[in-house]
Amino acid sequence: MSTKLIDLVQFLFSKNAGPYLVTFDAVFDKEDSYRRVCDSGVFTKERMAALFKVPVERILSVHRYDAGRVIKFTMIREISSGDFGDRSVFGSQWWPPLIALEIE
Amino acid sequence: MGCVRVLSPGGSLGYGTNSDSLRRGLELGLDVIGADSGSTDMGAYYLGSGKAYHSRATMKRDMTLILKAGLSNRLPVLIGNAGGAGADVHLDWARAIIEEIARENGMSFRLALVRSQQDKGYLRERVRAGKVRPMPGVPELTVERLDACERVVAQMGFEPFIEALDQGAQVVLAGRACDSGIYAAYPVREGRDPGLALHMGKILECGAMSAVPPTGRDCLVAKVDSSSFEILAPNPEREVTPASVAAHMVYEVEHPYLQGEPTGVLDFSEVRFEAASDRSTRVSGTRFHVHDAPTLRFEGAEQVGFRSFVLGGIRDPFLIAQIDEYIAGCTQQTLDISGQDGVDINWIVYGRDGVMGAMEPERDRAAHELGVLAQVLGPTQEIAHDVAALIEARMIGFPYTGARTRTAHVAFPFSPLVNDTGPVYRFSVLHIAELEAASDLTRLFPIEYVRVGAAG
Repeated sequence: MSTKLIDLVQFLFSKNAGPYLVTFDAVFDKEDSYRRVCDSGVFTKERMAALFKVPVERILSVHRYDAGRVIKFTMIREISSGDFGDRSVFGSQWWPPLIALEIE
Repeated sequence: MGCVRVLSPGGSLGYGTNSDSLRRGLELGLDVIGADSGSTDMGAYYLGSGKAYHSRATMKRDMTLILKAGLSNRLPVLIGNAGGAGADVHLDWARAIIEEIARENGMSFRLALVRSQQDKGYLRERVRAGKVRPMPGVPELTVERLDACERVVAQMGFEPFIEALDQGAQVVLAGRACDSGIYAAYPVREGRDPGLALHMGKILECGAMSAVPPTGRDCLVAKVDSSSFEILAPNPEREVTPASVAAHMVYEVEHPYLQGEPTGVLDFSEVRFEAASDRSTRVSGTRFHVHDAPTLRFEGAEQVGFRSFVLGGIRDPFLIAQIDEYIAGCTQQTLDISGQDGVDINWIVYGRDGVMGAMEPERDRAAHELGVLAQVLGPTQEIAHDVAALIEARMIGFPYTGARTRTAHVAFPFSPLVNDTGPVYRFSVLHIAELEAASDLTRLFPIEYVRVGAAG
């Protein structure tokens, strides 16, 4: 039975990692939920590029950190923080498309 | 080897720290207070314009709290990233506040001012020598881009702080600094492992963000011994748990366990997080891979033009149905009339895709009410203003298909209608330079010592 990512995580957020990158974190408080999302394989460069409608080259990396039960990916910004046309100086508020990500 | 106890008053000095937590922190018996006061997080405007990021009144409040705490308990106070962006003008801004506080409170102490603003010669030479690489996502640095920058700073490590402490400084006010180094300097000077101390600094630099509940606006304390450190929150309403610290290690960084510092790379892959008490966590196992040659991160802000904007609200459902045609039409008429080249017009439509732009998956579900921000980037403020005024005049009366109203299409909240925000900047320099010599880690950050307050 599939479920939505939001029902498995503790937090989701996006934030600058320097002015040219924005990093998206899924933080889990339950080990089985963390393992389930890791095992589902949804966090790939290709899936994240498709979800956010950006070229796959702009997804710089996808990482997991078992000690912190965190899955994260980092995107190269189209416009650097605070430059003309930027929509989010801190890179905040870009994570909500992750809410409904289907997890097997 | 005993513990070295470090207190951080919060994620950014000048946001308003918690004075009660500071008092409780002091009761733990501290050795040093470290305070990060800036970042690149708020964009290049502050480095470019020379303006301070924080409110002066709140900065004075926070500085007064930590200076009183430090001086009355004989603790050194180390402040980094003065004024937000850490250039000379920001350092001078923060210095004036410190001198005012000392005067008003009868304080007297030896202050070290550590400058981080760079003349461009050193970095230009490093670019020509092929020793400069961009941070991920950043274009290669050219001498032309470097020369176009308003100001350039380098991010110091802990070395200049240690030098200032060696010279008897009681308070250190530094320009642009690695957050971790502000907190690591004192423990390293006391003989603690640099990798461990820097790891501790990475946690303290965000205040109580690694506690539960998390916030950057509260104090955090670290006790550093020979092979581990303990993190605790002086505020009894917060706990520091192994899970909360571990999850924090990935905050605002691209890589979860490899993080660059001037003299090496921190490696958290083998780190252990264990409960030290029911409210604190012990961290050990940090590794530090020393670079063959030390590096520094340089930051430079280049002005890209001047901005003016118009902000309005739209409630008319017939106009909302035509919003793309309306925006395209207003833009075209504006360009036709103004005849301006070199002007950039950008629209943000809140209630549809204002936050996410092209990344928005639900763009087709426009709200019943839209906020429309039209902004203009021009080569001068006057040109940007004139073009924005043309947009405003088009917005108010642009004829759109299916209109059931005659004019006054937009509810503008402000008079003046056109607002000028001044120059716009971008980080054209965000690059790592390999240094000529290890001594550049201190040589590039000259220190001036001054006696603040009454002599003696």
